[in-house]
This record gives sequence, structure tokens and C-alpha cells, in this order.
Amino acid sequence: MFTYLFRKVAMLPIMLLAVSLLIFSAVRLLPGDPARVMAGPQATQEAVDDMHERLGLGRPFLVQYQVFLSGALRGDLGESLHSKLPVTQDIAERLPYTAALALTSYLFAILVGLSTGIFAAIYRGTWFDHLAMIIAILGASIANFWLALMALTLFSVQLGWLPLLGAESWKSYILPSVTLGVLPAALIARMTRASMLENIHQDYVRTARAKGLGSRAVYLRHTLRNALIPIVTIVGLNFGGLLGGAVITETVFNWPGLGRLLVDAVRFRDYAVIQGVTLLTVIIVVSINLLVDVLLSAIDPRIRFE
Amino acid sequence: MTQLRRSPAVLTALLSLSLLTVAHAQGKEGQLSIMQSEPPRSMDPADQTATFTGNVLAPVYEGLTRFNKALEIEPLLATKWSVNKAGTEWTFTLRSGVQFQDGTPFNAAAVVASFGRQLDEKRGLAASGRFRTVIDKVTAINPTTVRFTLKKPYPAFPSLMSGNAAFIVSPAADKKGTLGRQPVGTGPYSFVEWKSGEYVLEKANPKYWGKQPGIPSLKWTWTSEPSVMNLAIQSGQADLVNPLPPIFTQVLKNNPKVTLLQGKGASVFWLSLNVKLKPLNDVRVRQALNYATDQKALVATLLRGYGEPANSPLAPADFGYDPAAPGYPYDVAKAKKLLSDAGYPNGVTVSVASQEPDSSIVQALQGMWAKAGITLKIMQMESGVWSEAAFGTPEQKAKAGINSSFASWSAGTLDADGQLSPLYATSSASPAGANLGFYSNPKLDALLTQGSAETDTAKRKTIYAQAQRIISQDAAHVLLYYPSDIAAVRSTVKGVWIFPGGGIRLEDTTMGK
Amino acid sequence: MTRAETKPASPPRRLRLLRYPNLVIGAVMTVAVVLLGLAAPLLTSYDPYLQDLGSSLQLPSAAHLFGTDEFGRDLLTRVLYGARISLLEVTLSVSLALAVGLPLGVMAGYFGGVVDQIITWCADILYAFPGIVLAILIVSILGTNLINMLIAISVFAIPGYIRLTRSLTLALKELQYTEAALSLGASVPRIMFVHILRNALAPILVQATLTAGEVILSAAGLSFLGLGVQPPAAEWGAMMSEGRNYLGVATHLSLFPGLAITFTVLGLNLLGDGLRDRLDPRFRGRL
Repeated sequence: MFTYLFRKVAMLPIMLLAVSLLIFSAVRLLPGDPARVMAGPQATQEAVDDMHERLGLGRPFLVQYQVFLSGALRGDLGESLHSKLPVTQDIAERLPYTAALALTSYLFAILVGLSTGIFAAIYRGTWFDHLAMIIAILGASIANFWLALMALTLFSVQLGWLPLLGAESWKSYILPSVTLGVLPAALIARMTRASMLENIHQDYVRTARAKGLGSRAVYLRHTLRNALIPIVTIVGLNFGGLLGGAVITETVFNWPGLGRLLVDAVRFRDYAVIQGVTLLTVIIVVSINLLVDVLLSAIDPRIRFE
Repeated sequence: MTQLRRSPAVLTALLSLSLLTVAHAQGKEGQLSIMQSEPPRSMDPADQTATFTGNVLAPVYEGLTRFNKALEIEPLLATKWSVNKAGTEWTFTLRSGVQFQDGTPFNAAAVVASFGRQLDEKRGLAASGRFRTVIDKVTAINPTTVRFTLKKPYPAFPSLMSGNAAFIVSPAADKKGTLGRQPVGTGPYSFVEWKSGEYVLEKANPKYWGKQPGIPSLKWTWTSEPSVMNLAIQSGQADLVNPLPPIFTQVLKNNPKVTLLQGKGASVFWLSLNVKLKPLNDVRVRQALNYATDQKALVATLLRGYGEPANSPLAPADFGYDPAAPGYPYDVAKAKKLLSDAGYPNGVTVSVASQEPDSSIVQALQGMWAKAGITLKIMQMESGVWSEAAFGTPEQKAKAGINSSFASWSAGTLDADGQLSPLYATSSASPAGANLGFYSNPKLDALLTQGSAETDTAKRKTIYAQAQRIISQDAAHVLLYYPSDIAAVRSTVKGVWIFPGGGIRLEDTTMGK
Repeated sequence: MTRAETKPASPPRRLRLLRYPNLVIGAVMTVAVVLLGLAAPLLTSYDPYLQDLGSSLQLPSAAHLFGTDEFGRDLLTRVLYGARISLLEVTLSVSLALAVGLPLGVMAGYFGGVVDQIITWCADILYAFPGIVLAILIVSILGTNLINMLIAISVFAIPGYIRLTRSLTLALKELQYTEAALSLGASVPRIMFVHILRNALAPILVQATLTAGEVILSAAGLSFLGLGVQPPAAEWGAMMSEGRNYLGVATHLSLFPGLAITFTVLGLNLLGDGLRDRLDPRFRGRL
């Protein structure tokens, strides 16, 4: 276990170096000249050329990469063409929104997924079980932005209950969190149910029952611990997906998070921001995966890694 | 609250979510919330060329002159101005006792500094090109008098001075290098905050030299989703949305809480035709495309009637626009005949480079042109890619197979020269300028040079009337339409007007309950 | 296994299938989508691309069950023809991901050592990018069209296949018949691709079915961001994306393509889920 983790951690810097080079080259392969985009269609070629010079885009690729890398190591990701802020500050402004959205979505997903999964397992084979599992598969089959659009039309426009956009009150969180949380909720519900069913027939549950504990108490006390495993796994495996989903969900809900920052940055060819945000997402995803590995082995010592 | 449409499904949802029925707040008291279609690109007026960025900056800044509602030029920071006989020296007398929001006094030195940075190539400011081609130098005669020496006569100079890019910035703030983030001007509002993902906030400037604005604060937001604009204005989350996509006029027209604003269009929408690449190197094919275009149907469906078919390369709001310029009527038979005369009896295939928001219009053209035997191949691109493709050289375009590019243009100066020179002059051929189809006609070039320097208004008009006819005849573009600028405001908001091209003017705006 | 208690001696084949309702329902739904797509020209008299600007944006009616779009095209017709494009997307993307992922996974598993480490490492790097972020970059670089979008989608499905086939290969390598084949003189490539793949087919099939659903969702997402097919293609994601400009006025424009996507993906997920139950009961209930 420790060797495995150690190897992973040791590989991290090399991996991040490779990722940063990949991102850096990808950004420069993007067709479209940031100077032209910045200057706007009405600018003359002369102004575009001057802009090009000003942005330091004329220097050789490796020089640019070296500047980027040495800056990144000092925590300086460059300056946004668009907001004129250091990228780190831009990210610092946006990250809390995406983090809050991720948190509330997972909160929703865990509450709904866990309770649905537990009850479906307890009432196995009943109509509730069947319905819940059909809804769970359905939840994994819906395009979340479509759901977002439909929910937006219904709740914000037709009914006017929920605010449309922005992140100004707790109510603004409802629609984006729910639409983003539907997929993990569905996955958690299914995995919780499955893991509980596996455990119901384990010896220790039988023993507990034989000791005269009521069946509900048995389920909750002895099987919940095992239900943690699917939750941690799903949260870990799905985190990248959630960040990806946030790209579109944030666009739909005008949510001032990292996802929208990235989409706008690609549109404006804001190199420094694309690099910074992508690199950060990769770091977050990799760290979460590592954390999940650790957590899983803490919850269940039987889990081993190759 | 918006209207509740009672249907069974809605009622069920209503029951299940009854805990959420508290109506949400409709924005802050005394604050006008304005939603536009794109985020601001910079807070430095000289470093942007986008209408919607200009709108955000306009309450904070002022220029020497500005356009009034009748589209005449009126004094602002300059109280009067004059020009020498040769038309090359413009002298402005400045308003005294004016201060920038940071306390710096406004005077001739500030004007010289403000334009000096535009003329400085090293600064590479986005909007500076248009000034550098016209202005030779700017000098302070005394603290309240400033003189612009031009490279050649430029009769539309006051128009150029009335645009957003000519706003005067605080020299102290420019020295600090913070203008890109924090605008400092002399205008009725001062800048409060720009949260880059969310909003720009401005509040009334108590030290403003003129009349205090009727609304204490302005909040600018933006969305790339057209439907969100409709939703926001209907729900009252925004008090003003600009530009409103025409499709939503249908629903908003009947909403008593919302008023539609319509501005005389200043933009011309067109397809520039690549005259260096087959089959559009033949003028007959280019004319055929124009004849095959049912402009009226485009205006009726895509613009929902909010616009006019384009009969000239100039927009109706532009100086020099000739309402009598002969456009191309819709005539499929004629289009087919022209194609066959040009040696394409079986029709032609033409490609168009367009951006995602233009998807509807190019698809409509695709459907229309099919009837005349013209196959339109749509090359839809992201805006950054489109800029590069559209502003390519003839060789690059030949290689990528780009026959035409869809775009629009509005001259911020509302002058014929600002519309025709960048789009049709030989010297503006892409990538140097926006003559995206490499159209070139020496006769036109001569007229454009002559027109840009002619100081006699009547003579200028005749020159441009001729120019419009030549461009039409040569079919450098497929001219489509002039869309009206549409915005929607909550009915409690009064006194907003739309400057041609999509500018929001708020100087007389008030807001009731 | 609880099923052991209720399992009758030897049920007829038909009944046995019914024990996997997901499999049956999923298969029926998937076949329905395929048939509707193929039979589109027989089911509707409208042309999915012919414009009729005079009847644009009509609400659903008897003449147009799903209403019309902004160019007056019949939406039902476009949704039906859209099934063809979606099936094409699924086929191409999944095949591409399989074609790259399987050999790499098998090689990593069979050879181990440096080969394994390099392949796993590359897969890890790809895996670290949120799929859509990677796809946005890839499509933006290659240019916006159907094929490039499918390439982008395949790229982020590849690491999944590498991991799956690698672990399957590792398990199968230990089995005796592989050694037996070797001693009988079978060549290494033959063993890798014939023996190992044949025995790993079931889990791969399950994975492919589930990826198929993801492909449709990812394609819709990319088209939504304007990185998908070129107009006027009747692609569900693109239709939904164009429709979103009319929300609140003509909501049906994105409602119906969205329902079509949900129906198809649901069918594929049920099918994959059922297949997994049928082929490998150990994984029951996991998606």
C-alpha cells in the first residue's frame, strides 16, 4: 500500500511536467491569433501586429515555455489578456464558486443517493426498489445541461421561484447543484444498494440479527460503514466528470466559476488562463484520486492496489 | 414574479416544491441592472473595439464631443471647435473646472496624454489604428485649448472624436498602469468594482460637472445565452437587456412590464465574396448570388421584421447613405441565367466561413440558394478561428477553400468613409484590413480617397452615391440586411435610447417603482 | 447469491431471459432507435433539410407532431433522421476507442515491465484531464466538424479501455490455457489477440455498450458548446443547442431532441447493465 502511494506521489512531479508541456503546446496549437481576437475585427493589421509584440507571442516556443514554467514554479501563471489580472488572482476569484457548486452537488448526491440506495436495498424487490433503480439509470442517461435548460425554463421563467443566474443567494445554488448532482446521485444510489445487498448475507450481519437486533438497526449500524466505499469511489472517480460537467452547467447558469472562465478563455484565446485553469483542474483531479486511494484503504484494509 | 401558467404539471411541481414559493428579490433599489451579450474586454477605452465594452465604459468616460439623439455632434468636454481652411488642423476649446474621478484636473495636457498613448506604437492599443492613420500630432496651445494636426484632411474628424475609443482618460491613472482594470474618466458615474466572472458596478459620481444622473448605480452583467436575456428581462432580474435577439420580440411585445427599444440600424450584414477564387472571380456569379437572395424573407423570419433589406453597402444611419441605390431584387430565374452565362449551367458550389451565432442566417441562405442551383457549404468556426480564416491572405484562403465570409460592419463614426474604406478599398485587402474578399477597383479607390478628404458636404454625398453604385454593380458582397438594434427594458425605466450600432445611452434615464 | 434459493431446476430459455428485465427493455429500446433511424424515410413524408421559412417555429400540431424549427423543417423528421447520425457517432467513436485502447491494454498486460509502465503512465495522464476539457482543446485545435469531435470523444474513452483490457489480460495470462497454447507453439501475438481477447470479450462488450451512451452525451455536450457537427446536420446535440436560443418561445426545439437523447442513452445503459448481469453476476448493480 505505502509503496504504491509512494510511487504515485514520486511520479507526480514528472507527470505534472508532462501535463504542463502538453497543455502548453496544445494551447499554442489552437488556431486563431490572440492578438487578433483581443484587438477585435475592426482593428487594423498594424494594431494587431503591435499587440502581438506586446503580448510576447513573437518569441520562440521553448523560450515561452521556459518563461511559463519558471513562473509556474514560483506560483506565477502569467497575466490574463482579458481581465488584465494575474491568472492566479483570476482563478482565486472563480475557484470558490466552482468549489461551492461541487460541494453542494455532492451533498445533494450523497443525501439522495445514499438514502435511495439504502431503502432500495431494505425493500428489495418492491415497487420502490424497481422505481428507484429505473430513476437511477435514467439519472445517468440524461444530458445534464438539457436538464438544466428545462429546469431553468420551468422554475425560473414559468414559475419564477428560483433566480435565473449568478450566485447571489442560497437559492441560486439549487438548480445548478441539482442538475450537476443528478449523475453522482444515480451512481451512488446504485452502488449503495449493491454493496448493502452483498453485505446483508455476510456472517456478521447474521450474527447481529441472531443477537436479536431489529432488522433496521442491523442494516444501519452494520452496513452503512460499507456504504462509505461506493460513495468515496464515486466521488473520486466522478470528480473529473463533475468539473467537466461544470464547464457546461456554469455556461448555462451564468455561474462565475472556473468552467466558464475556461470556456471564455478558449474563446478569447487567453493562453495564460487556459493553461492555468487546465493545469489546476489536472492537479485537483490527480490529488483527489490519490486521496480516494488513501481513504478507501483506511475504510477497508482489505482493499489493495496493484 | 412572472406570470404563472397554470397547467397540471405545473401545479404538481408547485405542491412538491411549495417550500420555495417565496418570491425572490428583484434586484436592488436604485440600481439599474443591465445585461449584455458579452463580457467587457478591457476597462481602457483605447484598448477595445467592441460596442458592448464601450457601453460599460460610456457612463464613466467622456469624449471631447458626442452624438445627440438626433445624431448630430454636440459639445461635451470641448465647448467649441474649429478647423483651418485646409482641413488639417482642428482646434478644440476645453470645458474648464472639470475633474477626473481620481481628482486629477482635466485640461489640455490630459487630452494630449490621452491621445499620445494612442499614437504610441509601442503601447499597441487595440483601437489605436484608426487614430494613427488620421492624426499626426496633438499639441496643447494653452490649458484650455488643444490642437490636432492631421496627416490629411479628414472632414469626419468630430465623428471620430465622438466614438468610445476617443474617451479621455485620467493621465494619472494611465501612469499607474491600472486603466485596463479600473477606468477613471470625467463621466457621471465612477467605477466601483469589476468582478471578472460576474459584473461591473458603477455609482453616481458626486463631483460630476454636469447634471447628476437619475439612477444612483449601474450594474452590468452578461451572458452568452440569448434565451437567458429573454428570461432575465421577463423575470425582472435585469432591467435592460441589449441586444435582444429578434425572436424574443414576439413574446416581449405583449408583456406590459417590458418595453422594446428600437434603434436605427448602423450595421450592414453581408457575405464578402472572394474575388480571387473560382467561381466568384466572375462578377456574373457574384451577381447571381445576390439575385438568389430573398432579402425580404430573411428580414421577416430571422429578424422578425426588425430590420430592412440592404440596398447599399452603407447603412441608413451613415452619412452618405443613398436610399435610391439600386439593390438586387429577388429573382431566381435571373440568377440561374447569369450562372449559365458564366459557364455554370449546372450550378456552383460556394463555401462560407461563419461563426456559431450566425448559424441561422447561413442555413437560411443555404436553403434559398439551393433553388437557384447554388450549393452553399457552411464552414462554421469558433470566433478565434474565424478571425484567422476570414483575415487570411488570398493564398491561405485558396488553400482552405474559403469562397466567402459572413460578417457585419458598423462604422462607429456613422460616416461613409468608416464603412467603405475598410471594406472595399484595395489597400484594405485582408489581412491588412477588412476587405475580406480582396475586392479591388481603381475607380472606387480614387472615389474613396477623394471622398475622405472632401470638405464640401454636398460634393461628398455625390462622391459616395457614385461609390455605392460601383460596389453594388461589382457585387463585392452579397448584401443582406440592416438589422434594427433592439433592446428591452422594464417599463419602469424611462429615457434610455439606443445609439445606432447597439450603443446604450443612459444620460436621461430614470427609474420608477 | 440470493438467486440460488429461488432458482428453479432448469427454466426454459425464454423465461431465463426475462429474469434480466433491464437487458430485455434496453435491447428493445436500442433496437427501436436503430429501426426508427433506418426507417425514417418511410415514417415521414417531410425532408429533414428542406426549408419552408413561411412555417417556421410552429408549435406541435397534427401536421407536425413535434412542431417545426426556425426554418420550418419538421422537427419529428429531423429527430428521426438524427438517430442515424447518433448511431454513426456511436459506431465510429466506440470502434476508434476500441481499436486504440484494446491493443495497448493487452500489450501492457501481457508484456508488463517498461511497456506496461509507459502505457499506463500515458493513460494516467489522459485520465487526469476532465474529458470535456480535453475535448474542447482537441476540437479547437483540429477544427470543428463531426469527425474531429468523434476523435476527441474517443480520446477520452481510450484510457478506460486500456485499464480494462490490461487488468483482464493480467488475470487471463495466469490461466493455464495460455500456457498451454504457448507450449503448443502458438505465437505471442496470436495468444494476445485471439485467446486473451476472446475470453475478455464479455466485459469489453459491456464496457462498449456503456461507452456508447457516454458518446451520445459527450457529443451532445460538445455540440452544445458549438464544437460539434456543421449545420444543417440533423444531429440531436446540435438541434438542442440551436433550440436553446428559443427557450421560453419555442421550448419544443430543445425538448424533443433532448428526450431522444435521454431515450437512446437510457436504452443503451439498460442494455449494458443487463448484459453485465447476464454475463457477469458479480458486478450486478454497478454502473
